[in-house]
Amino acid sequence: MEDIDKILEDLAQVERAMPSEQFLKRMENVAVAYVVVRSKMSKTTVLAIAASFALLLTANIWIWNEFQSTTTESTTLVETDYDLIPTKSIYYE
Amino acid sequence: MRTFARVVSNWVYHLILSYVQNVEDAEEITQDVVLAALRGLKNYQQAASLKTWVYRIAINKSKDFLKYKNRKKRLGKVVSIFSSDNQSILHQGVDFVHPGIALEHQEDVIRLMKTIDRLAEHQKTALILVKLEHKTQKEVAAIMQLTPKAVEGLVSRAKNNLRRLLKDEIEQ
Repeated sequence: MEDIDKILEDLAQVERAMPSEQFLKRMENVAVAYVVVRSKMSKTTVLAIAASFALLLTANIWIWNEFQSTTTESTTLVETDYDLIPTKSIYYE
Repeated sequence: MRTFARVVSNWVYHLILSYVQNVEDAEEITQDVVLAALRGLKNYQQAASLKTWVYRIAINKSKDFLKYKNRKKRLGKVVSIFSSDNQSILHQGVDFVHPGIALEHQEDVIRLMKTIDRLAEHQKTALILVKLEHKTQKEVAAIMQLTPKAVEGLVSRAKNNLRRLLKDEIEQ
C-alpha cells in the first residue's frame, strides 16, 4: 500500500454520492405527510386525547377498586355466616 | 417543505453514506435526519448555520445507528454460541463500494474505508468531514463543537492511526 497521504488524496477525489431521484421524491412525500399530520393534529387535540386517556384510566382504577372492596365484603360476610353455623348441631345427636 | 426535504437529503446523504458504508442504511438515516430537522426547525437557534445544524443531526443519527447495529451484532454473536444456526450472526462485514470511487482506486479505497471504520468516533468524524466532505477545519470545528486546533489534532491522530492499522494489516 502506498503512502497514507497519497491514498487520502485518492479518497478526496471521490465524487460526491447523490441520492437517487426516486429517494428524493420519497423524502418530499415524507416531509409533506409530516406537515399534513402535524397541521391536522393541533396541540389542543393531542392534549385532549391525552386527558381523555388519563380520565379513562382513572375511572378504570376507581371501578376496579370499588369492585374489589365489594367482593371482599361479600366474602367476609359469607365467611362470617359460615362461622356462625355450629360445628356440631344438637339435632344430630 | 418539499424543497427543504430535498436540500437536506442532498446535504447529508454523502456524509451518512461515508459514515455507515451501506446504501440502505444511509437512506434510512437520511429519512430520520429529514424528519428530525423538520421537527426541530421550530426550535432551531441561529447560533450555528442551518447546514452546520443539519450536519450535527446527521452525525449523531449515524453514530446512534452504528451503536445500535453493533449491539445487534454482539447479541447475534451471543445467540450464535447457543444455536447451531450460524445465519443468526447479523451484519457481517461487506465490501462496500462507494458510488463515487473510480474503478482504478476501488481496492485501495475499500481497504481504507474499512480501516477508517475502525478509528475512534471523533477521529473518524473529523477525517470524513475533512477528506470526503471537503470541509475546512473551521467548518468541522463548528460542526463538532470543537476548536480548529482540536480538529487539526484529531485529523493528524487519525492519519497516524490509519498508517499504523494499514501497516498491521499488511504485516499479518
